[in-house]
Amino acid sequence: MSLFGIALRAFVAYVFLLALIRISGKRIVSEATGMQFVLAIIVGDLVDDAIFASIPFAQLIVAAGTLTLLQLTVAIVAMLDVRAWKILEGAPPILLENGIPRRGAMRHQRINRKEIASLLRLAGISAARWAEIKRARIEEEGIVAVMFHEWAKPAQRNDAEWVKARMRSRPS
Amino acid sequence: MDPRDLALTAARAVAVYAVMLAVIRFSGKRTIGMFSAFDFLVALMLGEVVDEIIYGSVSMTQGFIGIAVIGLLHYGNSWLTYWDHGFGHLLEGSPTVVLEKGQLHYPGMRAERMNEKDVLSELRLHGVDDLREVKVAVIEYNGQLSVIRQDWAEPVQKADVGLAMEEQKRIDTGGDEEPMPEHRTDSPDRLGRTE
Repeated sequence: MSLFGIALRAFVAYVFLLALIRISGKRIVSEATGMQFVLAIIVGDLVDDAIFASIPFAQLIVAAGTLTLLQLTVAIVAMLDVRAWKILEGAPPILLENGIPRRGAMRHQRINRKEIASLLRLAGISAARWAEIKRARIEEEGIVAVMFHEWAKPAQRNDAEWVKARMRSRPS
Repeated sequence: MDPRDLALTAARAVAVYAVMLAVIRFSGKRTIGMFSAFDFLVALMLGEVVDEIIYGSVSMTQGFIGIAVIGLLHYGNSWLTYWDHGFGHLLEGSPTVVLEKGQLHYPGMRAERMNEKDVLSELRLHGVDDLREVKVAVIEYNGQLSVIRQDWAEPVQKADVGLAMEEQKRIDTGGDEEPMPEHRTDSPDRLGRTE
């Protein structure tokens, strides 16, 4: 096995993967659903055998190309059709509603109360503040999106205006 | 290179894709991915097995038996953890308190092999440079640091500045802001703190 050959194949593999990522769009790796995450690992593993020439290079191109094409197809189908999206990606489950964990969703995802507490702590919410939550969904692996009740949302400029107006109107 | 071999490679890639999609959808949001450090390793393991199948270095049957066993083990593991009869603690570990009421908690830091600089660096990523603002900081199941601020350091909410919103808060929480003590999963003794 010639060292020059390894360098050449590594170079071509790098450019090829770069092209694959650019074709499939940023969301394919950054919005890591389970499938996209595992696919990224698989494609990464495909490359090493090709670089050291234990398999022909053409096989890498066909394999990685097929996987990317399939993922693109699935992503497009899931984008166009809601029913397909539910089957292929799964709707984000609601774990918590009005501050109360939902048993069914917990069982379905096998996430227990301690783990919900852990996920919410990562969002900066202690168990004492669960009552502030209207809905919490698992959007991606390990990330919850928390929707608060109206009164628990961060105060905004116009809320401060209201306080200021009251202070001004108060006779001093 | 024989074009028939390439066609076979493509066919194997399609089969592998379908199987992996099924495995991931079957296992739910938590099993494959970044929920805990081990979930991450399992994803890597599955990925390694799969590339041998695509290249045909192992037969389909061999490869899929490997995937099935890893998948089923991890599925069983997730139920054991869910039921939480001590197995969860064994298989997944438990969150570690590294900072409490503005004070570094050294036993917890030692358990996570962190020094002051590591904790401070993680806290800065949460926008905290004054330890007194922190009620409790915990290394969670996935290895990330979570930060709970003191009540006085929490951002201002609409209920804090508007009377109507305050009234709504009273109605929604039934005037009872704190949940019952047994629900307080964030209190340090519930976290199985290292002492």
